[in-house]
Amino acid sequence: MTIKELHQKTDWPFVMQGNIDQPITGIHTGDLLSYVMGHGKTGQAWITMQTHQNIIAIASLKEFSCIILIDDNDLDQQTLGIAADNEINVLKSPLDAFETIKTLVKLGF
Amino acid sequence: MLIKTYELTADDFTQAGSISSDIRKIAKGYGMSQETIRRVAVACYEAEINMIIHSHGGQIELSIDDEWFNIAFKDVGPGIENIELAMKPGWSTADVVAQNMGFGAGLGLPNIKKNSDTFNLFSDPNGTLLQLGFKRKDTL
Repeated sequence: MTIKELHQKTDWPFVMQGNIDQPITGIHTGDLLSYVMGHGKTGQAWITMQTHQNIIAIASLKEFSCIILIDDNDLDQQTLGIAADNEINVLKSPLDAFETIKTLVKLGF
Repeated sequence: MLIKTYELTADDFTQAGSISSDIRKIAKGYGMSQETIRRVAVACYEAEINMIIHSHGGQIELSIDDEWFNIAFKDVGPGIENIELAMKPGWSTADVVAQNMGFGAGLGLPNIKKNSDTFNLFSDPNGTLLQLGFKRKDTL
C-alpha cells in the first residue's frame, strides 16, 4: 500500500506531503527515539506521539515512508519547515496509538 | 584523509541530526552499501545526540581512506564518569528536557557499538573522544 492509498482508506489528513506514491513496507511504533533508531526499518510508517523537530531527522535518517502522528497532534511551524525541506510525509490520526494500530492491522499490515 | 570537520553546539536540539544527515549523504556518495549507510546513520545520530545532551560542545571529524570510513566525536567535557555503566543498556544520566523529547533511554552507546565496525571510547573530565570506524566495503 502506498501512502496515498493509506490516506484515501483512512481519511487521515496530511500534515506534510513528500513523495506519497512510495510504498509502506511495514509499521513501527515508538516514542523513545533511541529505540526507534535501533529498531525501525527503511520504508516503514512510524507511529509516534512525539511532535518535536527531531522526529523529522529520525524519519529522514531511517528513510521511513511516513510519520503518523496520533491523537490529532500537529507539528509546529518550525518542524513543518524542516519536514518540507526533507520531503517527509506526515499524516495525523485522530485516534490514540492503540486504535491507530488496530486500524492499520484491519487494512492488512 | 580528513574530509570534513563539523562544529557542534551543546544543548542545540534544533540542529540535531543535521551533521549525521550530511555524513550519510557523503557515505552514499562513496558508494557504500545500503546496510552500511544505515549503520553509519544510526551510530552517527546517537553520537551526535549524546554530544548535544551531555557535552559542552565539540567537533565531529570525518576521515576516509581506501578501506575505512572513520568518524571521531570530540567534546570538551565534562566527560563520562563511569564508561562501564554508560555502556549498559538502560543506564542514562540525561536530564528531564532530553527525556521529554524521547531521548535518554540509555540505549545510545549500546546502539552505537552494535552498529559500528570499530568502537573506541576515551573519557576524562576534560572531554570525551569517541572513534567509530565503518568498513567501506562489506566484503573486507
